[in-house]
Amino acid sequence: MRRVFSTAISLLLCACADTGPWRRDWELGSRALSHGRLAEAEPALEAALASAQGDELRFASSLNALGDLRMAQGAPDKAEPLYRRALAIMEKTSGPDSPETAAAVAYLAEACALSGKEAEADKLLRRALASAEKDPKRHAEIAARFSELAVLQRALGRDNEAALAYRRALEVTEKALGPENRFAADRLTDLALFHHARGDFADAETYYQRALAVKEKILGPGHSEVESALNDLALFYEAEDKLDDAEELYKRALAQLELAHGKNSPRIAATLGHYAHLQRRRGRAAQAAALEARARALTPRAAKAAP
Amino acid sequence: MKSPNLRTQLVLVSGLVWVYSLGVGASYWRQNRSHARLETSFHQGLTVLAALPRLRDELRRVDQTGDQYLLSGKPVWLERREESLDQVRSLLRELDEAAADEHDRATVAEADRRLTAYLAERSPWISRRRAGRLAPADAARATGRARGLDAVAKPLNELKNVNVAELRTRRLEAEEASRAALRLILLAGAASAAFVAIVISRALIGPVASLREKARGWTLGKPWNFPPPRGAGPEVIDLHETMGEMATRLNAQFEREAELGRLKGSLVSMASHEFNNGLSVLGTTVDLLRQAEKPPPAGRRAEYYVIVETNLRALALATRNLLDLGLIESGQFTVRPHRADLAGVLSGAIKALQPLYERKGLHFSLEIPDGVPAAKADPEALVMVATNLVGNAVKYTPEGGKVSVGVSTEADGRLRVYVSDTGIGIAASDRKAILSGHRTEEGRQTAQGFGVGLMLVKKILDAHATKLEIEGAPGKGSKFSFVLPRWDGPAEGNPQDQTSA
Repeated sequence: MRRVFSTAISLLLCACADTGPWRRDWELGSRALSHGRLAEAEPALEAALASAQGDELRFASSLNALGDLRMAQGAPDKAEPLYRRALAIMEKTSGPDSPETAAAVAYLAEACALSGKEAEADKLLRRALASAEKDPKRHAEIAARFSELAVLQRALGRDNEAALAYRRALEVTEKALGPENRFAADRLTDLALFHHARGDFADAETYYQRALAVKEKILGPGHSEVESALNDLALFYEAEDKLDDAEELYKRALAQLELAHGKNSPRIAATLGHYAHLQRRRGRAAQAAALEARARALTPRAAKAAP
Repeated sequence: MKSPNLRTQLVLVSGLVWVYSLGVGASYWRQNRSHARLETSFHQGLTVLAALPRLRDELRRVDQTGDQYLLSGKPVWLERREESLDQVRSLLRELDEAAADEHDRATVAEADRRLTAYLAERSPWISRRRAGRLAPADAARATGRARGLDAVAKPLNELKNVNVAELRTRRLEAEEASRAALRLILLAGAASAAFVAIVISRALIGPVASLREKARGWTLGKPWNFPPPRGAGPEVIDLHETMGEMATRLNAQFEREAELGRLKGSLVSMASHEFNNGLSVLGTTVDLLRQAEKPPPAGRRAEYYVIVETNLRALALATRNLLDLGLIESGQFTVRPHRADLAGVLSGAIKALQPLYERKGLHFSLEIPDGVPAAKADPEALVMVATNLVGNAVKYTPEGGKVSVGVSTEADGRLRVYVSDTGIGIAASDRKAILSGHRTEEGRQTAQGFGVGLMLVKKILDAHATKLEIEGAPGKGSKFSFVLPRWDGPAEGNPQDQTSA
């Protein structure tokens, strides 16, 4: 989510700035970072930071991007001072309640949260939330802050507040965009994962089901996300020993995949493997063996090994 | 207790052998099963020992590749994760197949359940990452927060107990099973053998041995009135009864033979009396005739008288023998040993046979040392013995031969009476036949007429608790002798006692 904002701000800045070494380095570093090529991103972003001296917005953007890199490197303590410097610049240039400043606050909050300064992170997030709530159009931001607040509350062991924040994030999204959209599905999935991790399997099941229903409706059967959701829910049922429900979902996933990609697509191999495992667990060794053989024949390894 | 019949016993013994065979089979089966278990357990142990570290590695890889994917979003991590997951599931299947018991199987199932739970919790994160709807920082949070796979592998630690020590225990168990099987076989064999031995001994060997002892103890003429052997089977009882019937038949036969013998004896006795009377009259008459001849007979006439007298004497001796034998057989003649003057007895015998040996021109010598002590014997019976032995010597010694009659003292002081000659002699086989009272075919030809006289001698010597000894060889003469104890009673000079007793 942060990447979206980061990119948006960067593009905005770029639109009204000259092209040159900063822009090249910054684009190169950002792209490398978004693709996970951290080693490639680091020198580019450091070069961008160096060439942004004198331009506050570029400098703040470069600081944020470097902060993102440190976060991706798993070093939030190194990201924190970068984000803090960027926030100071943003507050000065865009004002304390601007979306850019709020975004910078959120980045800093995340770095604080991950480097063990949960109290400060909590304060920062609430500040960003208060700032965003002044404008109902910034619903996406509000929802994102609620989600982040929920994660933080969980880290602080305040599960009830976390649940409340997750639900608020969902409400805001549904109110602004309607119940059937991908963001709502993400919020539902957040709630499902939260309850799943807590061991509230009944609640988790409900949210998984709702997320699946939304995804099926907006993406249509055969979409990879729908298939993933089906598989995930099937696994959930299997873990819950609801083997009939799990089988039903595997069958649905298989049918959709076969329809979308054909019976011999490598993309159905994983689902076949899961389904085979379920069959074996149900004591149907022969069916399991048949499914496993089919899966083996479709795996990329098998495809590579075949002449 | 009455034993079952032999057929039933055979069935019992066969049954026992069957039971024993079954016992052997059962031990063999048990031993085999134990070894198979050992092998299976060894195989299971190996599988578990080989699979567990691999499983842990693969689980770690599932976890790490999942994290890598969440952080980097590179599909290659997802592929590797799927591969590792395949490996994990296949290893779990191997462990499940190698599971020794329900507990192991439940352990593997528990691990599998935990793996599923882990995947169920982890997969939605991965799905979100795949859909591009998870930021790297969220991903970092997810990886940091997610439960590791340690919980999955944890229950499997129990399987590690199948280790070398346990294998050794099972091997020892298998060895113990082998030893137990051997002991069982030996014990069953010993018990069966003992049982068979007891059954056969009680029902067969014992009763048959008892029957044999009874048969040995039985003598002809006695009734077969033994009870059947204790514990004997019907067959042995049947054998006992058959032997009883045989004894009864033999006794009846024996009774008839004895009756016939008695009849013959009395006939012989009667005939001998008649002969004796007739011969006495004839002897007296011939004597009178000779004495009445005037002038006394000479030449051929005198020779005829000698022939008649000699033959009459021989006939009288034979008849006398028959009579005496008859008396002995009928128990009317009993031997009463007392003081016997051997010189008198022997010279009397020689004198009685004088006409016989003189006619053959034999040299006769009486070899009695001076002062020979008296013997303890029945003098009258001793006369019969001496007469017969000397008669035999005269009979079987060719004309011009030599006959010696005498007494010698043994080393132990007893007295040996002997009659030796230079006659035809007796073969060793004949000696045996003569002493046993039987005669061989050859003996009949070479020793004609030995029969009745020697039989009488033997019986009289038997009654004196001594026996006839015979020496010599064919063509080299013979020597008949016997030993008598000295008379150690009071000296009695009355020769009348010797003959009238």
